[in-house]
Amino acid sequence: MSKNDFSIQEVFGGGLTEVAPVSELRVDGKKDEKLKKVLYPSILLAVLIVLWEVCVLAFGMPQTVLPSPFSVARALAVNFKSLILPELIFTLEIIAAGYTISVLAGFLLAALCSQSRLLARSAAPLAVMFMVTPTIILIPIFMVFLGFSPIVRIIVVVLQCVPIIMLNTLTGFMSIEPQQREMLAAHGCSRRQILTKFTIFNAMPQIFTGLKIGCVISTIAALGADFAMGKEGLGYRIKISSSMVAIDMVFATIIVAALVGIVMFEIVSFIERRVIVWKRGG
Amino acid sequence: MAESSRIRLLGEGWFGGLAVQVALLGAVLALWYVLVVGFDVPEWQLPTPARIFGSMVNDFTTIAPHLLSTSRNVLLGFFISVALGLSLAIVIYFNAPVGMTITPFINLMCIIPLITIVPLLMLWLGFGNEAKLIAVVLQSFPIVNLNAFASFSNVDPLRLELMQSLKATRYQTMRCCVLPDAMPGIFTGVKLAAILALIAEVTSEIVGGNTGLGAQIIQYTQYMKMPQAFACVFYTALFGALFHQSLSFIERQLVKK
Amino acid sequence: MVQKIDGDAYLSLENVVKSYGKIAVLSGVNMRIDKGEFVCILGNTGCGKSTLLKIMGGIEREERGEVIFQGIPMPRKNTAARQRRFGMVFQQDSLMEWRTVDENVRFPLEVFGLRDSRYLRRVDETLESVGLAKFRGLYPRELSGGMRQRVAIARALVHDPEVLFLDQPFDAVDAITRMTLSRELLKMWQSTLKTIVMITNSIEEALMLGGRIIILSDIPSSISSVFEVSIPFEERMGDLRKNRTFQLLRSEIRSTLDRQDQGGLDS
Repeated sequence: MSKNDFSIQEVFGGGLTEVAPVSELRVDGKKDEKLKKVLYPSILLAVLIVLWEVCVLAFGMPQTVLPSPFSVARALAVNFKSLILPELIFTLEIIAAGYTISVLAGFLLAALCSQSRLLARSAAPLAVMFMVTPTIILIPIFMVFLGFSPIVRIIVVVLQCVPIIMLNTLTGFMSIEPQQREMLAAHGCSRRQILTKFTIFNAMPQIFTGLKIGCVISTIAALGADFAMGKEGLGYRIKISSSMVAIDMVFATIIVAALVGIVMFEIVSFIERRVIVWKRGG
Repeated sequence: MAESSRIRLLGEGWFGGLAVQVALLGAVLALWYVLVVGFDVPEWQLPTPARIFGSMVNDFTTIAPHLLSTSRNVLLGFFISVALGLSLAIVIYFNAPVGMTITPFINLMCIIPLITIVPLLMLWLGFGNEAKLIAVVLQSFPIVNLNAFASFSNVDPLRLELMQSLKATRYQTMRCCVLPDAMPGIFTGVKLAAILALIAEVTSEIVGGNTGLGAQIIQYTQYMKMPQAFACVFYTALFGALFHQSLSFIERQLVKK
Repeated sequence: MVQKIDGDAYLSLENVVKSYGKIAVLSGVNMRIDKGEFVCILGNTGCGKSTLLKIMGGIEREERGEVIFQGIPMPRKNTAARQRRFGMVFQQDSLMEWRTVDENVRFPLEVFGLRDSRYLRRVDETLESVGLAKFRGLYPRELSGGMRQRVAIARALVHDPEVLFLDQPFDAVDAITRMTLSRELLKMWQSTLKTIVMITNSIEEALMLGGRIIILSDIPSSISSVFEVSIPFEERMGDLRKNRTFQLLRSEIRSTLDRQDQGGLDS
């Protein structure tokens, strides 16, 4: 009986798996079902927006507490170029830089750890430690050294994001079932052949899970950094708008931030669908 | 798939692995100490680990209420999230139309950074615990719900058929068939939710807080009381680690069959 | 149909011993298999049949003793060159989910570096012979259990191995598919006369397919008995249950296995 491959599950007790993309519901294949799946939520959304507008009008909510959807849209349109766009670009750059570094570092570290069980068992808990600590708390301390440099934000994003990508990638690399190992041994595959013909593909789903979670985490980390450091970024715009009680701007910026998250996630999901073609079928 | 977890992180476990982890941590701390002393870094920039541990002990009485506040909000929000997320998942599982309506919103909530709502919440509810709690729940419960529902949907169809043929009630099917099978996936969501809960809480404290470790760190750094600031950081990390380990422990009890 | 070839056995095991930790699984297994034979191995659960097959097929290494193939002891190292001569089918199909049927069957050719057009044609041929030519562009996820196992069989044959090893290959499929697949296997053997070693837990299946049946004792196992099955091919494909030899052997084998089982409980 060939040895059970080392499972990272044992080290940090359970991998982080499956965050489904927005569009993933159990598709039954019937046109009817598909229509319902778009229609029902759209109806709910429309109802909510109408309700919102009605509440504002009916209860005579002051614009300072709950702005009407209309005024939010207007604030968004009017202020986008001047107030929101520069902050959007700034935060996007932080997220992009942080995420890219995290992905590269995560893959690298996972590749290294997959070579040695000892290394994997030692490194994984360290990674977990960073994963479970909100790196935003390090910002005030980093600021003592680095002031308001954007590097601080990038470091915070990377520290929060790398462990997740690394751990999921590592889990993916190391989850080869015993019977699959036997099959590979039956063909006398060399280590290199196993890696290039099997391990990488076998790991793809788990890798993408890590990438998707990493998306969400890096967005959260970047915006949290905006909150903590101020001066620039979407988070800063939200904070400052709320301190000026310009609630329509607050709403507008929140929507923009949400869109950032969504777009980023959908991009990764799109790539996933292109790469992992074998799961969509039957 | 995996045999019963042979390796425990804390306590019993493979001596070699545990020793290496401790050694690594110790090495990091030792390096830290050496660098600080070697480069003669002033304490207001980077205190030595010894000094920090000292502060963790000496200033404990000052820090404790904030540690308590953070922990309380995180744990309370977390439990609410799990309860809410799970029950909603069960409802969705048995009620397809409701599922079709709500699921896209839940998916959305998982993806968008809900901490952006924190300043708004604080504007409406003030800087107290209510806003923080709501932020924690909002950020955490969607992922519990998503993973729980996904796990329910991936239960072995043969076992479901068995339940059907035995004319099991919904409750019985849930309890005996779906939930046990779905446990691993549920716990994945739960552990992610725990991480997000702590992040949400600390972020809320930083945005506008008087209480909580996050707020304290800002306070301390403003007054350049670095050992205390680091002490708060270490306490936060410690809490996060303990939280996570506890969940892993519970998971091992519930999932190992 | 058993073809006895004079001289050295094609594949033989001499005093093969294997333990896992403290548990002795195989204790001195001596076995010979001639070229072109279809040998079935039977034994009670946990008697080390799979271990034996894996040692023969190069996946496991014997602790002591020798595996001799075509007169030469098996090289110690598991390499593609050594494995090229064998094809293996397991209980689980272990197909690669990200490869289509076609690509899964091509896998051995890639590993063994067989680029000859003759082998590319074999991809088509083996797919035809297992009846999956039409499905070559599908992914394993889209196939039934029986179809997946057929892909595994095609994969095991594509590189024209000299010996085919099967470890309870039809366990995971339903009874009807099992009957169909085993008949196809027999037909394939009849036309290619490959050497086949198959583990099964069904006495009837062993009698239908095997020219010789080897019974493995309980652990620590060795060969406990060998049965010659002289039933002509035509009758094997027909209503086998009416065949006298079949009935006799079936009860003999059954009592052998039962005796072993009880012996195990007593000791």
